[in-house]
Amino acid sequence: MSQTLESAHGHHPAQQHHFATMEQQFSAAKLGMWLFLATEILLFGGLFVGYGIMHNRHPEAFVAGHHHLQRPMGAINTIVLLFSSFTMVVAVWASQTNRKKLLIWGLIATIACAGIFMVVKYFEYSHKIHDGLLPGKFYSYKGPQVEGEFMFFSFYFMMTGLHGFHVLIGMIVLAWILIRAMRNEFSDQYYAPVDLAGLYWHLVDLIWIYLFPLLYLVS
Amino acid sequence: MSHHADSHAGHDVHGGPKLYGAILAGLLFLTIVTVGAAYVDFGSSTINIVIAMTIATIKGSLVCLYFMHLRWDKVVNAVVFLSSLVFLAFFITLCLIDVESRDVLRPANWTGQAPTPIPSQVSNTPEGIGQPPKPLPKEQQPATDGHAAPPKH
Amino acid sequence: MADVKTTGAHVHGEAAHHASYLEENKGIMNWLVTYDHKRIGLMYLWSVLLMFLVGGLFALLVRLELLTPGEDLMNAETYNRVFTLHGAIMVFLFIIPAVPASLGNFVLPLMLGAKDVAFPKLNLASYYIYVVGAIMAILSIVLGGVDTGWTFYTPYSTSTAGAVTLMTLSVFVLGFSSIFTGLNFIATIHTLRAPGMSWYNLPLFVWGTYATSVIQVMATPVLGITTVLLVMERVFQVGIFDARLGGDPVLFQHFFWFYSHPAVYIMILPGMAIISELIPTFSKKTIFGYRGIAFSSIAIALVSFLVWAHHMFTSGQSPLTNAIFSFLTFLVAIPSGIKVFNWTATMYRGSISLKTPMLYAMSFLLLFTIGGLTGLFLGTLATDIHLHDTYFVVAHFHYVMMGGTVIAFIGGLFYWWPKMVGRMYSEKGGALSAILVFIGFNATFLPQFIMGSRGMPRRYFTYLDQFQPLHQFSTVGAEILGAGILVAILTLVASLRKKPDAIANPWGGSTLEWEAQSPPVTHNFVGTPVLEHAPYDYRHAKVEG
Repeated sequence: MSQTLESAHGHHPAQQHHFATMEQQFSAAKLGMWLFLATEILLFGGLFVGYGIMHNRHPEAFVAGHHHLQRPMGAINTIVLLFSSFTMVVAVWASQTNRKKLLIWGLIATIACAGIFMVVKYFEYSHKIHDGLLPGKFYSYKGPQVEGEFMFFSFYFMMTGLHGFHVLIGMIVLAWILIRAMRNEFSDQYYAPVDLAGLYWHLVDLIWIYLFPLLYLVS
Repeated sequence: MSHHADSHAGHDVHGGPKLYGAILAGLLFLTIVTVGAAYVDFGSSTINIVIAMTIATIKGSLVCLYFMHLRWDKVVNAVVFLSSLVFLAFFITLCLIDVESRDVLRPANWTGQAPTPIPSQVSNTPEGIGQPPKPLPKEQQPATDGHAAPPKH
Repeated sequence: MADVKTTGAHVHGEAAHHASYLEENKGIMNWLVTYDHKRIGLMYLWSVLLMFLVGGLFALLVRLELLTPGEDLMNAETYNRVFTLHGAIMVFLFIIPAVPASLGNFVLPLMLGAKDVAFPKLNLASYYIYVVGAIMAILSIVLGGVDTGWTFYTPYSTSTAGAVTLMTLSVFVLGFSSIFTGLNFIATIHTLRAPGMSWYNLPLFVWGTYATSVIQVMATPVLGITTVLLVMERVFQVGIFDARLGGDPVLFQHFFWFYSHPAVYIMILPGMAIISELIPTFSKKTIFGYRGIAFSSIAIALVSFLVWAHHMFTSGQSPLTNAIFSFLTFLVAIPSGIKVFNWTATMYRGSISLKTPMLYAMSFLLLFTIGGLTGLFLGTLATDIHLHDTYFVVAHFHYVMMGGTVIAFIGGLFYWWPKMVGRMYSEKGGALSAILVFIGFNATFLPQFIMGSRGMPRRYFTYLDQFQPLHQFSTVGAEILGAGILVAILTLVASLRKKPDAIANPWGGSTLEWEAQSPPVTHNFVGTPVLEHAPYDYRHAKVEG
């Protein structure tokens, strides 16, 4: 890993002084990104553990709570995110193979999907707010309900809220990558930022893959 | 799948739109399966959850292996990713062992209701959140708290 | 030393002195925006030392209040705030970043023969995140204080008044600083080793830091989500930790200790890593059991994730859980024992020179062993029921944290000081500080073992009359300890007034950082270092000076 191979083609402008080669720089960046993703998994993991234990303790309440969610909305958002992952990975491939137009369109499609996701989420949230299905002390739903049902909504909002926050951050990062792509900064020699942003975006999708059945399909 | 022969940086390009499209089709199919399974009663809610989680894990593995390139990537990155899952597994397993092996004791001021909207903390004593407010002496602590009597066995 | 060849210019002695990292680009602005790991390390060093002094001041206040029973210096509420601040500042602002972020930042890339850490910008960001976290923590003192103890146990922390929310958010922010440091070091160790430096040629300090970084990356996020949940509980009453709403306060302790037990290994592993450097250098002998020490670091890191609930034997968790965790806790003793035996075996028949760092290293050996062995009492279910939440626990973890990590930290500081600033300090001052610290430390904490086993509970501002002699002994010890620390800092600061006089390798060390000039140039080495022999090979060593 730590050879002193000098780049046969001279230094790429994006190469930092403390790396001997672009490849070394790329491996370091990629390992760093995976470590960051590991921390993200453990961050969400804490919420999953809390959800699991509270679900275990109040099974009826969680089943009753999830009936207030709209499965079609959740399913649409799942499809939208899966599709955005596809456009993202195509964008990465396009940057690796010097397809500049495809890269730009892939990124635009990904950001658009993220936008659709947030809009759907907005409608879901406003529906919950209208019904008073809010976390903790703001819970004011007056209809028929099971003991401890408010706990489901505490978790619903914390988990989808943290996830939605990550979607927003992802949109900002991807927009920045898009601007750099339009400035022609990426090529088969240097595509690490696209690749790393892609990894982050797939993680956001990965977490939703688990959130969807846990929140929308409890039965 | 077309590879550019002049990939100077030495990173092999893997996959391609066709392969990724196939993976996407698989993921969408599994989404339909998991939604469909939620409408079927398998006899117990545990089985339903296990089925849903298994499908989610298959989907997640497809995303990791192909979309996140772990299948072709350096082993160390996969090790980092998997170890985060291993530590998470330790966390959830040992917590569940504890929660499952002790009695759930409900405190006397248990209401089962959402907390009533009360202004935030004002004093050093746990404020009465139950309904009606403040029905209990202030040393009324949840029985699961460390200072209360341990459960009898 | 013949182990290492450097291509390019010759770096020994006066042959060619290049402008060091301290001389190039002077001026405060250049420091504040630097990406140089050595400068960031120094900025961290001054910051953690400042926090150490603040936390130490609170410790002395605590000891002063305990001079006599009853309320004299402060009332119960103030006392609660003072010991909370002592704990929270020492844990989150001092010990966790102390060794990795200051000494580690400075030394690690040098040891690897690298020009910098893998992500220099992230390194600087981590420092500023630390500063923001520190400011938030200090603000929470001003805005009402915190009286929960550094552990923030629910339901007290969700119902007490004061700036608990701000303090918890500060812990959240500090967690990110810690994560970024760990992430940076792992990527650096994997990708930036000098040519010829295989994993088994890594200095043991690097192995220890690597194990620490693994914990920082894998455990700290859980602390992050725990603090978020606690804030949610305080602000929204989401119910997860509130038994009245169907939640579980014991679950908070699970969440908290899932991070905070590994975190105590974030604190001790770097201390062990320093000792693994000091002992071979000052015994002039190859380390005994290199792989044993290296792998025991990794083993400690892994096992640390499986023992957290031994902090909770009296919390109301199930007896089954108690038994599992008590059993798993004993596993930690194995790798710790391996280390202590290997260090002792390294010293056996070595030519030991009692320089200041070695005095600290020998203090460490004794104090850490006492700290480790008393941990076994606490890991045993039956004795823990008696000792839990007494001064025995306080003495135990101070023996490990202060007698272990802090003493190793000071020893490491004396060891690498000539490399950092290019000046030798007064050996007399250093030795005096080591002796004062050793005496003061034992005088402070040995009586606490006795008090604890007789039932003196921790975190009380008052006590029964029968404990007064021991408490007073302890307070006097704390003053001596404080004086020792002061002498150490004054000795180091006094050296700054001298002209630079440190040669490249004043101790005859065998790792790569001693090949760089003292203090090093901005990019660490003139030319690219190539490692040809394993570390701790003293066969070719010649002691200079």
